[in-house]
Amino acid sequence: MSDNARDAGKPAIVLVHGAWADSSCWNDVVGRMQADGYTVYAPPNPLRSLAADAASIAAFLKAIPGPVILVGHSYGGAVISVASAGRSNVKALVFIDAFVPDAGESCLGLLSSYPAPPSDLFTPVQLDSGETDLYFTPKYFNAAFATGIEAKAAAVMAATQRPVTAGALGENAPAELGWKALPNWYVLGSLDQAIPPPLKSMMAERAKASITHVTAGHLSMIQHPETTISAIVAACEAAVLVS
Amino acid sequence: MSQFLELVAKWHVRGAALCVAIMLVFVPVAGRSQTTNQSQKATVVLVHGAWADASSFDAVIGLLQTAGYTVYAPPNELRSLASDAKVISTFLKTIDGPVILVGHSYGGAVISVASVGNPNVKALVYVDAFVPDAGESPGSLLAPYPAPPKDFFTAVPFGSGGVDVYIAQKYYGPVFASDVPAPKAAAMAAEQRPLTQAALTDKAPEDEGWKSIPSWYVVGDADLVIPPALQLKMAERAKAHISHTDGSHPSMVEHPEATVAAIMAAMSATQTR
Repeated sequence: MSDNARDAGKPAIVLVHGAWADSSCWNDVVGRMQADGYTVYAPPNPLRSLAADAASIAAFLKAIPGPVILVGHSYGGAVISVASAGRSNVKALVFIDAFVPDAGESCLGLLSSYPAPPSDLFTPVQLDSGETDLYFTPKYFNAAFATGIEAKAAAVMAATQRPVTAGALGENAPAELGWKALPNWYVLGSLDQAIPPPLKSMMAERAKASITHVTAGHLSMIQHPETTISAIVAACEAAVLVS
Repeated sequence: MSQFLELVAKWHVRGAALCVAIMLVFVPVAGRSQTTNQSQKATVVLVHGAWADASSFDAVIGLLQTAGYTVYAPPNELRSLASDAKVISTFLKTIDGPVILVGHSYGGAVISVASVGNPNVKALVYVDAFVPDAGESPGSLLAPYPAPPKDFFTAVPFGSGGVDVYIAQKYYGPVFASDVPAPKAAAMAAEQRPLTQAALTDKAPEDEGWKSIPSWYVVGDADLVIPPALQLKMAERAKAHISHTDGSHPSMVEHPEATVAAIMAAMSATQTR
């Protein structure tokens, strides 16, 4: 897959969305980076299980011939951590308000030392497979997930959210994780109500990431796309210097 | 570890039976319909098509929410017609009260199957969509029309022999989203969700919702993906109420009012407005 030969010298940017969102959460990042001549892909994150989601993204990465900067938001951070392991064309990882689990950790496990959410935060939908799809209950969506986003836009996002399975949130990360070998960047929204900022700091520091703080909620790439873009561009520049 | 998180984590470990039990106790479902009982206002469920996602309905959703309607645009997984329809039919069962079910493009094939046997679905609204009859597939319906260029699709193999089909980005704006401003179309191209190759030729089953449920159809007269002549043929066959808009394949992106008008007409006709 090579869609933009004129920019062959620049790494391709691959953006992986998180739970309760879809690739449209990257709209502003995609638009501005395309205007700057980058080739950008925001492939689907199926949100079915960590292993399967990572396999899906890894298959996509395999189809890109040149270097890649891989970006993940929220649960997408766990997915890129796994998908990038052993993928030689991935040059750097950029985490946006994301989980960066270590071996044996899950998203729910990482959240477990923080105050529990209300019991009806999620609306479950039982699937035939025995799995449960979790939707973010609309009445909580704006305050707890789309913090800082204007109410009308948040209501549309609540209606278009893609659910994650309960299993994926509880699934432990494997031992092979891309962030252990790659250079990492982390954009940390300080008003995040979904992943507590102290937890994000801990994970970013553990991954020895270059950290940028931004006054934003859980969706800092929507509130401050320029901060996400700066981190991605810094990762691109470092990757070009190394190659 | 909090009680809730601990229990959620255990679902995964101990399997489905416990999962259901825990859910019944700890995750009260308020019921999806947020409208009150005194009005029989429909909930609108929007099913996106291939090479798009639910954000293709953003403008439609904004208009409907402003008008006070409860709207859901659940994921269309784009894996196979049978499994995609199952996901949507499972989702529909969680909604109390009348539903207007809307499908775009391949989403039309999905809602045709997913609506079967669900009495809550009062109307089907097709937007630039496939309305296959038994044994037909998107591939077979398009076969009589000129084929796209050879490099129109990009194939990405995955897992157990499957192939994901993307539209090559250079064709996305000119062909798929031909009336969408170029910068927005370029972002949509980057964010498209692929359809499996197999789903392109999945044959529709005998039972189709449109054979018994009243249907509406919005024809995008400038559609370069599903020829308007084919759209008309399928719409007429389904005895749909047909309207036209000067739109491209995802006509609801730039002409949301045409889709909203069809949805409102469906609500009026089924006394769910």
